[in-house]
Amino acid sequence: MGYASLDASLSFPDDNLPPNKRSILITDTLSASGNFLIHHFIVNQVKSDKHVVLVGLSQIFNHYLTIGRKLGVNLTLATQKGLLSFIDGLTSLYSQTDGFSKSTSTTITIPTAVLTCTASSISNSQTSKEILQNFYKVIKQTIVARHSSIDDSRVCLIFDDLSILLYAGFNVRDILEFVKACRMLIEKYNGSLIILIHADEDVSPSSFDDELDQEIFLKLLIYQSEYLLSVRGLGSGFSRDVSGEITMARGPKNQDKWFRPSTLHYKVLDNNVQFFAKGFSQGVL
Amino acid sequence: MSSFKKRVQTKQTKIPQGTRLSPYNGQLLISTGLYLDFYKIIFKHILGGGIPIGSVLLIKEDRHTEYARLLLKYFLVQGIVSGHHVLLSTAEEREPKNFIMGLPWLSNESDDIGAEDDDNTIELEEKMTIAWRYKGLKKFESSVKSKPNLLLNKQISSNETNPHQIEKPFCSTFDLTKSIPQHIMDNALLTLVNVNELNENSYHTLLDRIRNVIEENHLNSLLVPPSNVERNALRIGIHSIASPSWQSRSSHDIFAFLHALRGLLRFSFGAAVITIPAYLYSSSSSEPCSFIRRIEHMCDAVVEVESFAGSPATNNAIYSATYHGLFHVHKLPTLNSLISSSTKLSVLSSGSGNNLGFKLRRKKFTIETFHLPPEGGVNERRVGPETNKSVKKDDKNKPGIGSGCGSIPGRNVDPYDF
Repeated sequence: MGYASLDASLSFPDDNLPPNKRSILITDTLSASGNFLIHHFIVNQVKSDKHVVLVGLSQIFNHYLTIGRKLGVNLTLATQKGLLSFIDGLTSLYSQTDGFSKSTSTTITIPTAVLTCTASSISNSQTSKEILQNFYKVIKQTIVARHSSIDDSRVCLIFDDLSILLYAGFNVRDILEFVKACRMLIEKYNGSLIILIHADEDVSPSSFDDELDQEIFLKLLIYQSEYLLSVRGLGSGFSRDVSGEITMARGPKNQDKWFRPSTLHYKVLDNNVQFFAKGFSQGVL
Repeated sequence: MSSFKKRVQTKQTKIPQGTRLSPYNGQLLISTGLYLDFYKIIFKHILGGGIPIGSVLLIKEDRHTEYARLLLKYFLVQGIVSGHHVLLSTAEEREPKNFIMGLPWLSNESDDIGAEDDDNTIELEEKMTIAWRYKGLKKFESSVKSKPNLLLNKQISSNETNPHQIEKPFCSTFDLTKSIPQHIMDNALLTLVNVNELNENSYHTLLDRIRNVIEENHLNSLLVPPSNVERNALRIGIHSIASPSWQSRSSHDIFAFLHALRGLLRFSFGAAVITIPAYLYSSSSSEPCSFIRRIEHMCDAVVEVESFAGSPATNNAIYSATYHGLFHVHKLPTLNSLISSSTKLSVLSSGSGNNLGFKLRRKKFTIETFHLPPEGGVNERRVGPETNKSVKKDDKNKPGIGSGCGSIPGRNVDPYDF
């Protein structure tokens, strides 16, 4: 039970790690957060002694630490062993003073790197591009520093909530270029890329530009990914036994014969997530 | 394992006054200040005991009415009572001080009994006997008893001389008919930000102000405060964010603000409650527009207040006599956990699964589970003098016509017919 059944239906070869040189795109909605998948992939990766680079744009390290502990992994230890590199993209992404990250005391693990943009406005396309290039450099540095030899590092780069960048006003094309660069980097190191974005369907468009950006963003990310995990709430409304529905689908470039697209229901528990076929929740059986 | 960490933390650092640790995950909580009643389902309960320190709660405002504003008032006045630092930012008032002057104040328990809430009196009495037994246990309480409140009034009055010696309450009962005394208001730790006076980039300036307050008052959780300063908590109330009075250079400024605010609060002893006039942005009431949805994604918790007065469809419904509106929970705070703590702690199965309604009485605002009122017995279904709407329905479904689904003309009236 639990996460094992997700691994079974994803059926990634060797150790349930995301396959080499592949990207996974997770889309979620407001009613059903896709966070539990992120934590699962972190835990899987750390448990099999592989390197994770986690870019936390929506949460601080403590969040991952506490949940990781519940899922049976000590992320502080993992950081010390060099299995986890946390890149903080939340606390000082916009602040010019960035006094907070520097004052980090010993109680909370210092992030490996911090993403900051020094420019006051990112609406300017030129600065938007430069900032993202800086982000890429930070990520590249983190990976290069850890893996001196390129061989089979199987590093996993995770973006928790890439939508933040889009919302913050970065140019959508620049973000996509940034993602593409990350993907190339990952391919070089035989690793994998996991991206979480928000994709709500039950919304009415507000402004044409935003809508277009979101559309381009989503479609091109889908195009670049081999596996699509889409998480959403139940269409019929809330249920006590089912938190939501997860669809595992094939990306456009995916030719893997072993991969079987499927849809499961899931229920998030305190320290685990149960997955079951539709209609097989505990309340029914 | 997590419990071990929690103990260490409590030993090391004293938690700020008027806050408490969540029994579920050791998260530091502050109260929303809403009236708590054992039998009633309350706001706090839905959020899992309170608003976690370091999080941002978004309240989507109601149309035409000001219930969301009232919720914000509760949050702020609770902060004043608990001795927290309170920061209010609004663009709707000419002076934010006016907003503070309109805050309710602690209810006097003896006034409460025999007041207009007659249906509650019995419950209240019952509760008091229970409360009396547990009076000795100070901090651990899942609801606010009326008894400690009396004590509290005394505390407040004696507060001015030496404010640091008495333990500040976590959650108190407020009376909407009273207003906050002037001397309390003068002594409270208030920071008022008038958005109208800010420059062209309201969000950016406001963020700087918040950052200053946090730094000046040693609210940063990463820095050890000077030994003579006791750790306090900060309550940030932002009224009607993104209303037309807010100025920004681009539509992305608000997202940058929310993201930075979140990052700032995560490492400080503060929590924010933000109300937003979401209806201004959406054309239909059922579907939120993508702009609002993005803001919702940027906040830790999202609730919505939907007033019956705001739409003609619900304005005349039968239930509008019992309730004043619906209370929706869209997102629950999941800091440091996979699921929100309310799932474990609350009597509710989960926040979003329940239909919640609210009503505003003369003295208090309550949120409770929403039930449709019984419509008479089986035999007299939908007959009798009720509201206009039910009569209309009755006309449509006259059994003689046989237009009802599944009913056969000429047969007896099926009570379950619709």
